Amino acid sequence: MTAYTNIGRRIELVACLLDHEATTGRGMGVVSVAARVEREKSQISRGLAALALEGLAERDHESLEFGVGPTLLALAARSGVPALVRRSLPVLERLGAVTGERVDLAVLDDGQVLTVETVASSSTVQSVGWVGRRTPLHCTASGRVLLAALPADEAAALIETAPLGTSGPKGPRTTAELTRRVAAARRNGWALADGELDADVMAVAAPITGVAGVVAAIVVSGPSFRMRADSEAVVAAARQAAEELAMPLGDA
Amino acid sequence: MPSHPDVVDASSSGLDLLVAMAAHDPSGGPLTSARLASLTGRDRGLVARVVDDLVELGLVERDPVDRHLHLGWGLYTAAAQVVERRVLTRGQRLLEQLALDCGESAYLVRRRGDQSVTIAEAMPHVSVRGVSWLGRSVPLVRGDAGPVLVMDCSSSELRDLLGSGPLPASTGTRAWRSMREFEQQVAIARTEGVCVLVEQTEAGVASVGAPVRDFRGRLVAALVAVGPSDRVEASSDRLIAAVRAAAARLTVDLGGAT
Repeated sequence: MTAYTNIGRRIELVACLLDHEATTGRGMGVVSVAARVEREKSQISRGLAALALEGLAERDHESLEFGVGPTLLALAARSGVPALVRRSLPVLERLGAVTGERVDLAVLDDGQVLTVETVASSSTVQSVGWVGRRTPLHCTASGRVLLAALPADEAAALIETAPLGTSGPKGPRTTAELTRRVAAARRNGWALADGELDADVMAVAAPITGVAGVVAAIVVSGPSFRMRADSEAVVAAARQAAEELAMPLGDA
Repeated sequence: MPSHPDVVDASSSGLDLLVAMAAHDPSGGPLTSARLASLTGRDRGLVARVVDDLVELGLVERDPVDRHLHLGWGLYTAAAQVVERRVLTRGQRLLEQLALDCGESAYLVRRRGDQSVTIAEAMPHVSVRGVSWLGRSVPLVRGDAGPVLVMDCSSSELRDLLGSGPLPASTGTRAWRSMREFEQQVAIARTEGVCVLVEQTEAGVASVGAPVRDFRGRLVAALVAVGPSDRVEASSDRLIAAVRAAAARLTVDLGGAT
């Protein structure tokens, strides 16, 4: 159990509200926040009131529950890589229109792949639930592209600890096999995973370069039967889109 | 010295640290705990410990390569998820209030590719509940929300999205006859911040639509009031003001600036 600083304990309440509203769409009352962070109700009540004054939390006038406040949302607009966030959607949309498949932007976060943007194509179902989704590094095209961009020791450490047993039917079964596939991604400048996460789902990923190296991966994914037919064209289109999103010096 | 963790001031929540991180311009050099301490006038040791907490809580990231600090992708995706939730929950609440206040049907419409999809709706009276539009999609160029939903697109993005071929058939007596006419309406919506359409999508029907934006400034939906054209025209100033106000309210709920 982490011993937070006083400031950390206050921000823990913010993180708690953010996580809860992001996953359930609902606010929280004082009692449930207190239960979640295992602290006194009176203390939580004062803490939430203080956060509401700063706009980090907000009390809904109807439900009287606390949710994410406007100041926190404004901070979120400056999180991740803002320049990439600003420019990515039209490029993702165009790639989606060209390939007819779902297109995502993904980053390396806490040893996993985190989907940060998604554009559903006309042939796919709605995109609810994709942003914020976490998938393993070792059995995804995006994961391999992001692993390939890391310094050798960082990549080796993540490869060493990868939960290889959790892959789909065609995922890497050994550390050596995963190392080979990462090396191929590094050599090619793109990666392809077919049936590695889920059976019959294929994905193609290309890295987006920022000021200090790779900042994200662009991913096209869809049913294997559809993607296999034209995988070379999808790879070319994904790489071109990644190139368009590459960030010139200083533009972070 | 006794600590008073619950005293209300920005220094006890660490908001100053988050704001300093948000405002940091990476071209001015790397952001480290030491730099953050000097920017906020706080003790270096304390800032280093708070930064560890913020990383642990998932709000701040330390770059795996250069160790620089920035507000994390976890914060970004959680905020984006909150938007996806609120656009429906708060949106529904606002639509119901708008329908009640104005006596017209109110809709929230989002763009999916070249289509517009109704994601929420409210009718003024239960007794006159008409056909539901919920979940139905129509081409952007044939929907009341179309011009609003594409008003942030550049003209080349618009062409990529909609092509330049002939428009699908419409029953509206004053329907756009070409992409050019549609683009003119988009330009008007962009300038006015609101889009009034009379007999455009359907004979005898008029609408007022306004954009809803989120914390990124991204146009996430159009809020549209629809009614018989004679009634909408007779009360257009009041209706325009009400639709604008509801769209602005939802924008604020999603962290957007109005």
